[in-house]
Amino acid sequence: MTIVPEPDDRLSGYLDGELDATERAAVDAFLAESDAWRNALAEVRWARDTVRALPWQDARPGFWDDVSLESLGATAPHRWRHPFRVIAGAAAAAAVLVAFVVPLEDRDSGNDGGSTASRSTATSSPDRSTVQTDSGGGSDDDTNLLQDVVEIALDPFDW
Amino acid sequence: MADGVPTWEEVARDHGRFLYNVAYRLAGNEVDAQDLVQEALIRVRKGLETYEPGSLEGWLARIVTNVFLDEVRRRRRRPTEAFPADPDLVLPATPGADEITESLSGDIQAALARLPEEFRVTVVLCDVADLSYEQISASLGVPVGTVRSRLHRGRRFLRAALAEDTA
Repeated sequence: MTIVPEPDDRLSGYLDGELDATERAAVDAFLAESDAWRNALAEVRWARDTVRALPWQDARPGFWDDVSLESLGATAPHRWRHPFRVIAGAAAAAAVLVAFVVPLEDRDSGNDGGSTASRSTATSSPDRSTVQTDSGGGSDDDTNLLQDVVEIALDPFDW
Repeated sequence: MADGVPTWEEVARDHGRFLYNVAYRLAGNEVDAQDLVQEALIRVRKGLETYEPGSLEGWLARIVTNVFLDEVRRRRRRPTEAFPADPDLVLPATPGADEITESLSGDIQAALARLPEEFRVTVVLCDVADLSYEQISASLGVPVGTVRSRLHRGRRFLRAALAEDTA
């Protein structure tokens, strides 16, 4: 009579045809003698066959076109996937917009009798160049501050 | 293809589906699988210069597995579900492998995703990529006996997990 150990990992090797002749003969003997080995073999076979029967998973349409372009080109697109970089980029763009576009609008609104400090300058001086100078000079601090914000936004990342 | 060495385009065209399937089974979701494939193809592109003709899909499976394991190490700080101490907790009867429905397919993928990486990688390389124990051993840098042990434990865990899900 064969002394039968607990079922072990030889069962997977047995299923996969990865045992040498000696091990295979031993497993055959255990299977002949033991319900536990036969049950364990059935369980492992089920798991193996189930995974092997999984359907192929295909990529979304267009994925291969995208990946070809990116892989043939550069890896740069990966860098933009980091959400903080996207946010930092958007913040920098917004800061630039505020720094350069708003003062221009501000200047224009000064000419139209806007309600900012430059308006009082414009009111006191009808000379357009004075309005521009005063308006620009009045927002120098703001512009510098915004430029600092832009630099801080860009600084933590290796662009 | 020169001297049995494929071009990058040939790899992507002829083996991309294989690569993606392995990546998906490792990652468990579409977004991560896409990133794995993309990174793997970048490594393939570099590796083709030194590639020696052999089992191309084995080589590709090794690359995508390494990309996956690198990513796992990178994300190591994230909490993960613990591997059950006893994989034989519940083992009721379940449908045969030829009766896999879309729902069961999802359950299997979810069970795969719950496996610790070293077990999942071994199961996927064997039962999805169809590599031999020796190829898996070479890919992972572990002895063949370790491959067999991880594979066996992984399969038993999957069986138990799926039995629970379908009970």
